[in-house]
Amino acid sequence: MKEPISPAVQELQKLLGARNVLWQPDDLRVYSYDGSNNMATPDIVVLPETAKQISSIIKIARRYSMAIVPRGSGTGLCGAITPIAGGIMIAFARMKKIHNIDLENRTALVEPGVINLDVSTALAPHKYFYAPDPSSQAACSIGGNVANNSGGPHCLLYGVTANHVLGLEVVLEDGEILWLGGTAPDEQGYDLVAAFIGSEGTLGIITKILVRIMPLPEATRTLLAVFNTIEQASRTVSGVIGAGVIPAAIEMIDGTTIRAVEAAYNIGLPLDADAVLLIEVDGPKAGIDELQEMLADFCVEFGAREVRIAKNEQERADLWKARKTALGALGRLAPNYYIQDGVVPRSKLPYVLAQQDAIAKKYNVTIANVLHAGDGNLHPNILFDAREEGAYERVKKAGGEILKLCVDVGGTISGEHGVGLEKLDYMPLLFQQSDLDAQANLRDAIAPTRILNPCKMLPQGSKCGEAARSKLPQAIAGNTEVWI
Amino acid sequence: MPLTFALDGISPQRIYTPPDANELAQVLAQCNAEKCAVVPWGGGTLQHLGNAPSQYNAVLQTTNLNQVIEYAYDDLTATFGAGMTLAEIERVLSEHGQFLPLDVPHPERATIGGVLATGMNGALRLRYGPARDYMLGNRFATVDGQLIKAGSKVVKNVAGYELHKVQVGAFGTLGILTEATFKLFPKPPAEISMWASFDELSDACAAVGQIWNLSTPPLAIELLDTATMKFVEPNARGAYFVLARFGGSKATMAAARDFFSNAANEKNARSVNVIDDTQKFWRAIADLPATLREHFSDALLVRVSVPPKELPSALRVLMDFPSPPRIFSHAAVASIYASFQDAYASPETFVAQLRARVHELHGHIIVEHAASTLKKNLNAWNDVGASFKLMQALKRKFDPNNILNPGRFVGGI
Repeated sequence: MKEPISPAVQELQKLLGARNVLWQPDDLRVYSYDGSNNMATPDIVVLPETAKQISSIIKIARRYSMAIVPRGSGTGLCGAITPIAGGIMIAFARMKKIHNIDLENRTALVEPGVINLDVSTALAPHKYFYAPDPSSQAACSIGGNVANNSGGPHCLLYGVTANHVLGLEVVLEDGEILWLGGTAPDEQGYDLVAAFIGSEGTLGIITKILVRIMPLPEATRTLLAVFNTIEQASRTVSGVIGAGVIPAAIEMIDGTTIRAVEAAYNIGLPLDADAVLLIEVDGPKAGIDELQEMLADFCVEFGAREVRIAKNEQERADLWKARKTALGALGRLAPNYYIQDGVVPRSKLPYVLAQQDAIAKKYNVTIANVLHAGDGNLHPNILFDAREEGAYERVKKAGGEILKLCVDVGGTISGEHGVGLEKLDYMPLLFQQSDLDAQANLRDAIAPTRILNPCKMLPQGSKCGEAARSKLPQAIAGNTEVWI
Repeated sequence: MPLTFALDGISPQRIYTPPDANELAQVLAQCNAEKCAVVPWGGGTLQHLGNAPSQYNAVLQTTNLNQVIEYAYDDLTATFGAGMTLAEIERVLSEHGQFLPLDVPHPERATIGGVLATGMNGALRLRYGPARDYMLGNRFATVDGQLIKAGSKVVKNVAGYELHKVQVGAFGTLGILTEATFKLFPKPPAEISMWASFDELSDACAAVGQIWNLSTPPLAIELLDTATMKFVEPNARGAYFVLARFGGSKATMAAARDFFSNAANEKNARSVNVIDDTQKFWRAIADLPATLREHFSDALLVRVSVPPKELPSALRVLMDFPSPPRIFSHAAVASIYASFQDAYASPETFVAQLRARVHELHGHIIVEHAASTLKKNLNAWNDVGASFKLMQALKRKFDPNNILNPGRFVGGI
């Protein structure tokens, strides 16, 4: 039996054309997920092409008291796009234009649906690039990156998304289209661009992004250092940084992950190693070899049993493949995983990793570690089988303890994945109520009605919290289309 | 010099110098209850910025918040009390070969809280970004007497809104900073600084573009005219000067030296020079905004911001005025300081005209300084346009009684 078309759908169809409005359950299902274990289905999905249309969509949503949830590529890892209150999901699949590349100003103006890697690909002929490079960069969208203030391996040197966004076009909850920031320095007034970056779609819908682009470094060197213990590897990280050397990236994967990656891709990683570090330096040709040697010496000094150096672009790509495909490969070890994203001061890495081991033992879970080690950003993946009774609960408890551990040593609960639904309950670990109230003040100044991505970012009363918990599904089976 | 705390002829009735952050928050709450307008005060080196306060009853000094709260040198992070001076911070960090790239005037008096609140930057911003890019978190006192923690103390954090960044450049109108945490930078193992002189502005601008694009990226590129260069290298000869600072390994520096010379010579440099005392040289440049203001206190000092590619056009606009200003510029960032000496018949008309010309270049200007008799008729700020309603909404949320630095920020906030 055909469902009757709701008045909201009819209005949206009139606005966007029927093919750009999805409302049949089968069509909606694919929009229920992101890369996390959260799931909820929107009532309607729309595929607009312009900011003006988005402005009209928001007005329609308000008339029908429906929530608005923006969605980029759905690679997020915290349930930030999970439409927990139903409503209208705005998908950016038809907003993928790179409007303009301005080499003289070192900017590019892009639409939110543009895939991260496509920006750098478009810039490559000009010998420029867009620096933030989440591991999902072949799939994730710039809009999603901005909403989550995404990181990536090379943030160590280049900084996170916030450092590379100069301006935003946003649609406010009253439908007004507004331009914030710009190419000229020292924009006057409050830094609203900073407020919108990382706001997870709760303040407004981003419709254009002015990003900073950079000339490609003249030379790049990539090293892989193999360690017998994870402690040696983590001491190397804080040793390098403490000595005042800031490579472009320092990534770590532990033995469990090495073996999974090897089984999946046969890259030639040593199966008996307890950790490998992937270190990259870039910069002018002059001096790069000395820098590479210095880092190799460092690794040996801190106990590396072997240091491999990529001889060419292919070898470099192979080394990075080990890192960037790690999460997908873990599907070989267990059908499900639960990812955390805590950050600790780099010098605390050895202690935290040892404590994390103790937590794993306590809850009888296996953890596979993939770290943006140079930034102290942990990605412990707690492996489990959701079919096993009580497993998910145990895993969540272990995850919670790991986050508490991160906060206890002076760190934070999320370095790059965001709060979304996933970290809501942990915000009070980090912030007092007055701190959270101040953040709510910021949100309520800009978007007081809370129709934009409701129940995200800030714990906001039992209603949202209960909804979030009750909708947690069985975890998704092992999936290679995921990245950290 | 006795501190009077006078601003545009108004002096406060009360002077508070709380011993710590908690007490500062309490004082602020008390002021709020009494609707007593407060001006936060660090070293007072940047109090000339912004418009005259619409009301000014009390000054609230951060002088005693001058502690290193935490310095994790092996993590390259540190937390400083808002009242710490930049000179003291520099001293502490240099013991571990680290630094904060905030090269602004009068570091012996300028406090980190004041520099953040005013959003000031210097030449090093080209390489290291504005302060908000490497400030990881902060605490600020609110008008209801709370100390709010925002951001974190680690180099990556996305938990919660970036409230700490909104405080940067907000002129203390949303709260008073009591401490801030930073990602620190290791001092480059080697440095080289150079300058080249040019007869033509167009050549100097072209050289800026060339140098910005060098494969050894400079930490800073400055463009000075002969009047401002006098304060930096008194014996330098030429009409315009392009200065660059490089940092990195020794090998890189040798390459940078050649690159700079070639780039400058290609654009008809009259001379190319390596700087001996780089410390002194860059200190003089960092001080230039204050030097101009103090030496030419009757002149009109404006800061012009344009997109980088409009630097030549903006400089042309400035130099084409019948009495051209003294200028210096963080060139690749396209932030230009211009000091107009002539007592223009109508400074309001003059500023309006300049604003309009810069607006055509997609830029804006801030009036940093004017003779006190003129200042009251000049708006320091541009009209910020449609986003102003969001700014007002923020202000209402954080300071409903309008007691924090009232009247000094954009649009009368």
